[in-house]
Amino acid sequence: MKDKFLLLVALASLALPLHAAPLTESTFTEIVNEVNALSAAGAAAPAKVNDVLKAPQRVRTGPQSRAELIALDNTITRVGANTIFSYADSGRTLNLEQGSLLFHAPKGLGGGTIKSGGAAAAVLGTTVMTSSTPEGGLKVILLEGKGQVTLPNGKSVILTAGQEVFVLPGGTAFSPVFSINLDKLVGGSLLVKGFSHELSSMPLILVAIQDQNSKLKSGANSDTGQPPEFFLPPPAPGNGQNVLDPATTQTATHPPLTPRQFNALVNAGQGPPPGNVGPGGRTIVTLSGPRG
Amino acid sequence: MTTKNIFCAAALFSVALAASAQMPNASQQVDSLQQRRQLEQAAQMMVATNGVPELYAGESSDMGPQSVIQTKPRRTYLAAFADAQYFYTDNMFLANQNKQGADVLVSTVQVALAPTPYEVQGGLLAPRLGIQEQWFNYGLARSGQISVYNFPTHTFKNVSLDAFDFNAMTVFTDAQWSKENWTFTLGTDYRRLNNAQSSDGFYKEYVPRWAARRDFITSDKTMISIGYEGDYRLTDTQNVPPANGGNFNDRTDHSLVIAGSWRLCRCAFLQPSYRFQYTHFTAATRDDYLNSFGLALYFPINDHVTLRTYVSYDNLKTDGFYVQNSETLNAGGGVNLRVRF
Repeated sequence: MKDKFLLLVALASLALPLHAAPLTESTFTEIVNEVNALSAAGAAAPAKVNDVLKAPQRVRTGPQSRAELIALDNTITRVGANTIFSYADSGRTLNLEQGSLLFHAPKGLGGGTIKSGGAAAAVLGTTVMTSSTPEGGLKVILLEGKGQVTLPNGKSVILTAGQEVFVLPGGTAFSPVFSINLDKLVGGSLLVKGFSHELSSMPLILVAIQDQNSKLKSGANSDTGQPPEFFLPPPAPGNGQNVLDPATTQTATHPPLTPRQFNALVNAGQGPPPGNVGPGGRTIVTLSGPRG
Repeated sequence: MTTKNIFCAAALFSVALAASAQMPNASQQVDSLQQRRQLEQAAQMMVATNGVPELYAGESSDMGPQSVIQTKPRRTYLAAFADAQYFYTDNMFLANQNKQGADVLVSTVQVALAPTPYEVQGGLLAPRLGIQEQWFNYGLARSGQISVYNFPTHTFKNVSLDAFDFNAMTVFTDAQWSKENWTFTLGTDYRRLNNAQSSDGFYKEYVPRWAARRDFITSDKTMISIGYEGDYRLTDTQNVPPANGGNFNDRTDHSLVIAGSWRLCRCAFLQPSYRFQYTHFTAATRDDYLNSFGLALYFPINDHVTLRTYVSYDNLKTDGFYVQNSETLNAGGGVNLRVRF
């Protein structure tokens, strides 16, 4: 991994914790498909429910796999597919090397910190989902509560429920903060819905969803839905001689009259035509060829 | 989603922030585009159906679909538009032979009551009522003398090309309804053409019009649009040939329009286009067939200003007695300014 640098995602309740119990181990409470616990030496063993994951052990999930771990203080870590993560030896730190996870720390426990490859950042929050790539990409979505993401260069953004920010792989700057549809997100999220029991913070998430839905219903917000096309529409007649259609243009700048056409106009009345006679439109017309 | 696509998404987003592409020659379409962009600007970066780009394949399965929500922009009601294009045409009079080349300046000012589109039946409805004034000026750079016949005085005389300058005043109203990749338009125009020097009107038309268009997004950089446009023109033409009424230019137009849009980079769009237009004159024995090919390059400077350069070739076949088959080549450039408030 080139230019690997530290990503710190600190997750904590905004309320000051009474104490910050270490988060160095958790128990597997649910396992879906391929989940392995890796020893410090790298030896892999299939994880089982009720196994305890202790630092510096790592978890590695396979495709379409996920796992849930719950600590003694009810801090929840849910791990998505193709993810590698571990708890640090001390403090409340998770090392997310790649993949995705959902983290929820009950209020008053001091939240947590996540380290990963990519731009360094720190987030304070309650229930959060994050994903990262080995190339340094990072995405943080706050499901409920309020939090902060900070880059090593000091730049930071505040996130509230339903907001998302990301750093592109290899990037060092935040994307704009987006509000995303929590209802759609939660409804289609395996990290939220893909386990046999509900998240303990689900009532708080539902409050955030209801707040968002009420704004959508009132028309204050709109869901952009599918991506808009960023293209030009086809042209109407408009450039060059096509500003007007040809027949209209011909009334202003009439095609030259041939001798036959000219004679038909001038001699039609067997003499000089009345003043309101012409080929249609302007009173002056060019002629082509010899005059008849 | 690949890393390449992610960067494409970022580039798209940058474009959305820095510039807002506009269609300089189809004001109602530009309005719609810009209005839609205002509604969806936060989602400009999306190239996948989930909205915000995935950092890696399968991310959305675990985290969930991320559809961007945006606070609706402040509603606007008026749209002002100004455009100037300067071009050279090799066939100012749409002649079959002895073509007259000329440089032409077309200046346009338009103001419309054009509220931010309303959500109707799952789509966006954009009504407009406005007025447009256009000035056509010929031979600014090179105005040779040409011989013309003056019908009122029955005399020949030499005039410069600016003798053909004229103005077009248009009052228009229309409504455009867009949903997904479909756009339907129904509207009507009243247009009057006046001599620039005497202000005498020589042509008027009342034009009910209708259109339907389907956009096909073929990649994050390219789109193809296919559309049908139709109208019926009730006309009043001055100085008509003997035995013809003022309505002898009444006609109905039916057009097939195919256009591509290719985003070359963050501030340049290439737009090839083709139009086939069939025109049937209902008060005269005349049918026209127009094949028009265009290639335009647009440079959106910001949300309000767009530069463009273009070339076009038109081939007109007609069986009208007083007009001619013609081929016309145009090349030029233009700039437009657009403001909503």
